[in-house]
Amino acid sequence: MGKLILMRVLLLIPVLLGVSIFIFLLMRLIPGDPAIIIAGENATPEMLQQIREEFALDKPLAIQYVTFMKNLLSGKVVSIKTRRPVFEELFPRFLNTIHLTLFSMAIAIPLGITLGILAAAHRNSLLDNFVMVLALLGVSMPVFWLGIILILVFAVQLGWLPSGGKEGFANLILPSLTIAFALTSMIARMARAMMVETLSKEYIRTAVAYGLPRRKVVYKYALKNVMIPIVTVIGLQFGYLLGGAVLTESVFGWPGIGRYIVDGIFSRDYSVVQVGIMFLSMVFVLVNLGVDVLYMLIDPKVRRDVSKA
Amino acid sequence: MKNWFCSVRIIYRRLRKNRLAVVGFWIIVAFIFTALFAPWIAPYDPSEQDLLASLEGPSVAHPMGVDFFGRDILSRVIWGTRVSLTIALMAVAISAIVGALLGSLAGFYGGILDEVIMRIMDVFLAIPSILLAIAIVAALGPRTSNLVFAVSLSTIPEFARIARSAVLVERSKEYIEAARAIGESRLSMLFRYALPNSLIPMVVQASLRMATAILSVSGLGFLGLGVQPPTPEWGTDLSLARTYLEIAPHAGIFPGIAIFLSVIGFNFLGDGLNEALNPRLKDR
Repeated sequence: MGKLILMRVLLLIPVLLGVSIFIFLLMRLIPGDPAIIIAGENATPEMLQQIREEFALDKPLAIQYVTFMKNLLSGKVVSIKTRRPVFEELFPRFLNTIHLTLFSMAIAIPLGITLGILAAAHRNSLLDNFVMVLALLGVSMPVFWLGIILILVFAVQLGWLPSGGKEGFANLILPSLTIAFALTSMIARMARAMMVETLSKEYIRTAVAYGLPRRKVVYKYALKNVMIPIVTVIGLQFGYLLGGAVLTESVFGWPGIGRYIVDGIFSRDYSVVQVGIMFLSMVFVLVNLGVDVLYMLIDPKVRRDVSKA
Repeated sequence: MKNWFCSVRIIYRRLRKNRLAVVGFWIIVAFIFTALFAPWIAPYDPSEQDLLASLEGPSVAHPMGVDFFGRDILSRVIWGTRVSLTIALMAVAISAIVGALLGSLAGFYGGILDEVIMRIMDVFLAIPSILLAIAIVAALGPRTSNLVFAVSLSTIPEFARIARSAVLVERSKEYIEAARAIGESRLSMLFRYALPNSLIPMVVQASLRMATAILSVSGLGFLGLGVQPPTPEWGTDLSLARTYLEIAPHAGIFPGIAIFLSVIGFNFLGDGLNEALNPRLKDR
């Protein structure tokens, strides 16, 4: 078991390396002097010289990459605008994004799983059709548009909730509802598909053939078996969530990492963009790894196969 | 090939029974029609300014109202169809072709080639797609060609996976053995037999990806990183409408409805296709 997990961790290294090399090369494709790009338009000649040395810009690309990664990891990469280490600025914003994401998940996960399981249990019923059409609408809705509609209704028309900012709990409601709508739909669709598949399995049909009440078969045996894969798939949606947060944060002025990166683009603060995207990709990959490992640990089937091997 | 047409007919028959898929199909047809005939359908020139009418609400003369610069929103939405659909279509076509090639090469030849291709795909899967698109546009600038590239890059891995697994399944089948026995070359087997058989799952994926591509293009536009004004594009227009949303909500609502409807069309069709093709989901 430990070996298997170690293997998964080792397999991550080339992926993370690949991500960082890709982002690094992409930022080097920006036309212009890389020293100016790192230091900003109004940098003095001395500063540019210092940057050139610090980032080994006169050396071959491979050395530039290694130097950049070294500087990044030691926190030397600074924002052009504020001159503060990017990571120092990025981390509190990342926590804000997590805050928003977790709150949306707290709404979407129970709701989505319940709707999906109910739909599967009453397949082809009116409820099933209704939930599935609603879920399809949910995944088709552009988040930024939904956000704007919510602002128009609840902030502008009714005046119940603030349209942006991050002062208190009330500010959290509209952005998390925006994210939760699409997320609930997505989870409901996945939960339904998995439950439908489980319900067609032999052991379920056997249980029904033995005369067990259908209700018990569905909500006890099938549900038990389907929960683990459902939770796994939800974990794997985390990247999508971070992506959705970029747009939602822009609509509501939520000071999260997505907005930080987008602001970085507009102020040509490429250090922010580079570090931000690398950071989010790492988080994404690590969360997926965590979900996989957790899955291995809790699924008795996988556990048994491994101990046998 | 005849066999292939037969299966297309069966799919069509099953698809027709799926009401949502039919609805999706007609929505898409309507959008394509709008895109093709935009110059004749649109009542005004999309960049024609009538500053006296600025921010006017919906009326008979302007069914969707007028934006800040006095431009007819209906005409902009109609012309925007062309822009959004073209970029999304190009992005999906490119990623489907590149993904199919990479995936089938990986699946067919296996070994190191497979490892290398699929690990590179893993890298692009590791970056959340909208961030990948943002990074590319930020570095290369928001030109249309860069937008297409940005949106297609994050979709290539999924097409590659589908093609690879389809080819893997086909490779082990007897007819491929037979083809090899009569001396057909490996590459021609790949293109004549294995690849056409992965076509159907690719079409499902393409329809669903059209939906996400439209969302990505308009999302980039909304962030100000997409198609640049004054070109009419739904996301960009929506983002411009934000500043005066309280006075003129119509300027934001209608472009959003256009995005929403077109995405619904492709999602309904893709979902219906998936159900018609996937025997596991079929009613027993």
